[in-house]
Amino acid sequence: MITVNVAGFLTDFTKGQNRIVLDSTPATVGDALNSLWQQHVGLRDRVVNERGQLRPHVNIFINDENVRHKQMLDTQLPDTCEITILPAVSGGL
Amino acid sequence: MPETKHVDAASGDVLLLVGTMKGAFILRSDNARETWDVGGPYFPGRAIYAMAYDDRNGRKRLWAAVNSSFWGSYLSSSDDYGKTWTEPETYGVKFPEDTDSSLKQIWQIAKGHPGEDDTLYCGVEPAALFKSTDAGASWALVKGLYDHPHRPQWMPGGGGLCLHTILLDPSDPKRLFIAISTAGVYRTDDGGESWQPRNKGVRAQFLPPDQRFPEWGQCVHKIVSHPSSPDRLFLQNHWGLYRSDDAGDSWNDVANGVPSDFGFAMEIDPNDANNVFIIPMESDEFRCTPEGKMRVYRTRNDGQSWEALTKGLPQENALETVLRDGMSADTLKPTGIYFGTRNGKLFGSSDGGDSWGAIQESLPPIVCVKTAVVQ
Repeated sequence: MITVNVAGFLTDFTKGQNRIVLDSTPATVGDALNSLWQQHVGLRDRVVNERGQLRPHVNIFINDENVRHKQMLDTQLPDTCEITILPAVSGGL
Repeated sequence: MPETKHVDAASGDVLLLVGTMKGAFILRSDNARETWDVGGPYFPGRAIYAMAYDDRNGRKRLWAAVNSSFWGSYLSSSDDYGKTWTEPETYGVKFPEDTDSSLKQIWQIAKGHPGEDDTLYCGVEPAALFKSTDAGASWALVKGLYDHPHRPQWMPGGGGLCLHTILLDPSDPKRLFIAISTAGVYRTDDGGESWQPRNKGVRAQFLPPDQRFPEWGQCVHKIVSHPSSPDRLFLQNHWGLYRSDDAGDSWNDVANGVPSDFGFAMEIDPNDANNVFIIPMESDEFRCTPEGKMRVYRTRNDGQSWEALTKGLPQENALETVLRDGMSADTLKPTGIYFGTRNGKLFGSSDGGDSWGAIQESLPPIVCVKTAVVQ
């Protein structure tokens, strides 16, 4: 089971939910995000740009690992994990 | 988070739309323009580089270009003077799938030609033009400009590779001008299908001496024109102050008696096509008011001479920066003219620039000032 955690501003686009259980079994982070957009389309443009690339000041963690230190959105997912989407410390100037 | 205040507006009121690095503000006054109510901050924490007011077809709609360093850039609108704003699920201004670009920031929102009352344009970074023909409900990339053969060689200026100015020729529904830093002025005479550089006579100080007047590649900071004389344009360059009398086909230096010809902001008097306002900066290395004096310069004769306007403006230790969209004029008589600084100060004049006063002194860094008169 894959669960996605979002917080703060992003919950405006999840009807207030901060834990979303995906209704699919994605192989990669990118697949998981595509599944997430199906359930909550308002998250898509805020997390990735129109090229599907992760925005520069947004981080995604698989359990405790930042996908920027792995294969970004191509990172493989285990069968069960928690994905957490967070604003990065580098933004907010 | 600060409490958000709101303003109400009635027919005849003047609005100042102030975009800052930390949100938007709406100021309202009656036609005396002596006291101002302040609404905002709207979108606290977001940079608002562009705002506009669309009062066509019965609308009373404010637009704001909202940029979050985290969550991207999008357009939001309000039909109640800022009390509520749209928060679209999906962003409207996007590069299409058959391009390799992604939107960084929206720099300008402009209304379409007279008679095209549901048309809006939007200038963005990386430099491109978007058009809406349904009052902003949907947007499309202007491919004629995006596919221009010069585009791969356009270079970003200090603010990024931005299309920051959109001017329409109200007498010709097919003619538009756009300005890009750093690419220069381009004009279309066929409604955006094709674009020609219009920079003859404009110098590029940052190129070797024998290459300083290229066909394109200038760092134009702002261009303005007046509806009554659309072939005459004024241009504030990254070094250089110019006028064109032939719709941009050629430009002549009009930096006559200004302390510096470097600057960003420029505005034309809606009530007199001969009057233009600028705020010179000392240099590209020191982008502050020369000599620590906050001076607006005004020409009343097409740039043949410029006079310093200082009454009511600080003349000591005033190291201020006014950016390219930081000055705007209203259409009342006498003309109201307003500017905001990167230090968060907002100044205004209700007598065409003869005298000034501080309207706000502690806003976040101001990047955009626009005006509207409520009908």
